[in-house]
Amino acid sequence: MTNAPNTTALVIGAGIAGIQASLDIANSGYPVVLVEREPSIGGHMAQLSETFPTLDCSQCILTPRTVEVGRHENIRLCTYSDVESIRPVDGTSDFAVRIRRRASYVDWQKCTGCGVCQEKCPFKVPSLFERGMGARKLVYTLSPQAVPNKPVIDASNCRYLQSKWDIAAGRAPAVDKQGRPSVPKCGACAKFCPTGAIDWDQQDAFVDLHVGAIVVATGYDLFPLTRLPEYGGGLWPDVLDGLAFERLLAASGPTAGKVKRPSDGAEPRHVVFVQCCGSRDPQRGVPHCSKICCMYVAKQAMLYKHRVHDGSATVFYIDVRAGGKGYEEFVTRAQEEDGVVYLRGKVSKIYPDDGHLVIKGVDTLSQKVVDLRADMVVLATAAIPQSDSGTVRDLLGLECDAGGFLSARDDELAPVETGIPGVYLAGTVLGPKDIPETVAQASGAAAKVLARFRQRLLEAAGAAA
Amino acid sequence: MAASYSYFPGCTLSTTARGYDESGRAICEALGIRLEELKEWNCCGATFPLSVENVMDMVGPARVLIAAKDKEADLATLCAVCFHVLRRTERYLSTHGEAADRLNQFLDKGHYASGLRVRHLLGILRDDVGWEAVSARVSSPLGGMKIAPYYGCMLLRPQIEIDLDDSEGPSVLGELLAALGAEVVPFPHATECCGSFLVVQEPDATQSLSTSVVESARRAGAALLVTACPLCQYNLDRAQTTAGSKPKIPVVYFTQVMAAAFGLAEHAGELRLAEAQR
Amino acid sequence: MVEYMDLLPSVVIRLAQLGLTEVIGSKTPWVCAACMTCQARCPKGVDLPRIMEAIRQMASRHTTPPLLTMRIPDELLTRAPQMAVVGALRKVGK
Repeated sequence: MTNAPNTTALVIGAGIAGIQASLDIANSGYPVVLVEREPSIGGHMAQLSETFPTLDCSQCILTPRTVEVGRHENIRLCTYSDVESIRPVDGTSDFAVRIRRRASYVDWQKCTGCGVCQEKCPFKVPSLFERGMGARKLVYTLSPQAVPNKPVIDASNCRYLQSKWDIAAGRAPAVDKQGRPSVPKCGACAKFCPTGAIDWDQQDAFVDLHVGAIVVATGYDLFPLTRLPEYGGGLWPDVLDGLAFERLLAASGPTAGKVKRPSDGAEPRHVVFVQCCGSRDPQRGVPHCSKICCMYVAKQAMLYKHRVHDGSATVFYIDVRAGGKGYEEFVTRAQEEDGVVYLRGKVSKIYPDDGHLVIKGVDTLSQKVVDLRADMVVLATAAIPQSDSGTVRDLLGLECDAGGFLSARDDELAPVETGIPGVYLAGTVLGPKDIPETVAQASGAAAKVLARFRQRLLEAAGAAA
Repeated sequence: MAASYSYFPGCTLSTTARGYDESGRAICEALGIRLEELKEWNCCGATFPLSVENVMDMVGPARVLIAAKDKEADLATLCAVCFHVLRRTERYLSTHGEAADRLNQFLDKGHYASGLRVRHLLGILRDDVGWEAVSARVSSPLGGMKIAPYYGCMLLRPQIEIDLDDSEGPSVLGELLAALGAEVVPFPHATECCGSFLVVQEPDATQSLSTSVVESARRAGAALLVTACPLCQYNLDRAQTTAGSKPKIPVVYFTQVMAAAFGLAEHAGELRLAEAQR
Repeated sequence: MVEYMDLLPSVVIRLAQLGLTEVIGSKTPWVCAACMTCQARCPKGVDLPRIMEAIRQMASRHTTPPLLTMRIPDELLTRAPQMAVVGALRKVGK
């Protein structure tokens, strides 16, 4: 038993990179533990409406994979979880991993995913998944297609839990005015749950295991709008970032796919897209190019025009970077078939006036100063590392580049390996990239894992002979 | 609070914009801030020379720094342009030793190397005095008067050298006005240029720029515009007179607004007029 | 002030980068108010105000700058804050 090599893989992050890597490894017959911080899997791809350059519905191509992950006999899915520690196992090249499964206050064994709790919860907060375009209940799943389709309770806002803990800690009176013992407020979900799955006393749980390989696929985040006050970022409701606009476009999104202004719910007649917001900006943003924005702006402008036929879409660009397969043709289609107007120049300032947004920019090709009035502005903000990417980096002692993205052992010839044998990287944790490149890296990392496992098995068999 | 500062009023505050200087001295006294005017000072030059080779252009402001540096106190300014010029000159000389050496060789007496902190009164109020102490001194709160804080250019840019506030999303004037009981009216053109010295050479352009600022504040609902620069005050006021704007939005100095709130009505400038009209 | 310029500031920079001396004849540096918004917004931190000033100085060696003291209207000389006159003469005058 002690001589059988460990051929379990840990995959950290269940966006498309983590999902692809997990499936590749699991389909080869090896067990995978897939850890995801959010309540369900899918990452940013689950937030997209359609993907470029095919305009495939993102949910339609993602859901078969997420369902496969959820049902796979070789994948142990730990969502709403964090990796707490990773240590080498003495005398081996394995890793001892501790995973914290955060308390969701819902017993997922009893829960059938019927959704009554979400329906009955009386309270809403802005949904991070909806990027501020919509709200969610305090007991929630991220989307109707969530895998697993089990809700979690947002403890910091839950009236029941907060009042329960206040009473227990003496911050609230132990008896009410009539002298009866105080009861926590609300609790609607528990009252209506048909299987009694709400578990107010649930605690965080820990899973300890040994793994033989790790794939880090924790993804990216977007440059905060509030760092762009000259564009009204974070100041005016109709100034959005790309992911927020994506939620407006999504059929399963908060507006059922109708493009509506957050300020007054009206359909915008003119949408302006600004590229390079924070990217290529050593002075006030990040120096790197975020790679995907030229393409998703073309996509979003096209989709807007498909929804609002007589609307206008204008894109302010410095360059158009469309190097992938079919990408240049895609942007040309946006310009020639869908009438998206491309102006070459940066925007200097955006401010509101009389219910509209004034955009002061320039078109350097005609050398004209441009003054536009629009109803909505989409800022293509820079792709940056997740704010807590340092956590996983420090757990493993990994290197990162000047921008905070994790570094591969060699950018050219070992792009998914790290300096630590058995630890691999995939996807946007390494830097901005599109879905095809992400999936390719995920399969590449999986192949490295499989090679490592195969080698260990061969060595063990050789030693036993 | 008995903090002491050297004070550089500058030419304009000593003549055409005396109200700014007098209200500034009055509110500092009310807050226990000691301003000691430099005994010898000259014009700051009104522009920060950008020429790298020709350090002679910095002789004027350098002499002011020399007059101030031995006082063991920070140098306080009110005029945004004086602040800009003196601060950038100080920063330049203290980080470019060779240029400083060449300049110092020209000077008849004294030399400047480094070490003097050039401050604007707004920074002093925010960082040394604190808004709570300012609020505590208010005897006639502004009663929710709608005031638009106008920053202009010199007070904020370039942000790294000037280091007073965020040049795209500043808040220091708004915080001051809130501490005085006003309703702060942010408006999109708060950091746009009024036209500055080009009022002399390009009056139409200046008229257009200043009018954009005033109308932006008006559309946001402002009853009053507040500034820290005598040239902005002149341009924004003149643009309205030239255009025959009705009603005219008074443009006053932040020190005059403070004086009004501190019950020092004689230093409140046009604010008295605005108050009377309410 | 860009509406009053004959060349966009970015074009002035481009011509300077390419060493094209025709930039010295442009009106643009003379209507620059030195407001420094350009430098604040430029993602590369290009010091446009300094470049504009350099072009003004280079131009001054060949041609008379636009502002002449005798042409300043009386009203401005007497009523405007003197910082405006001093500033203008130092930046765009002789």
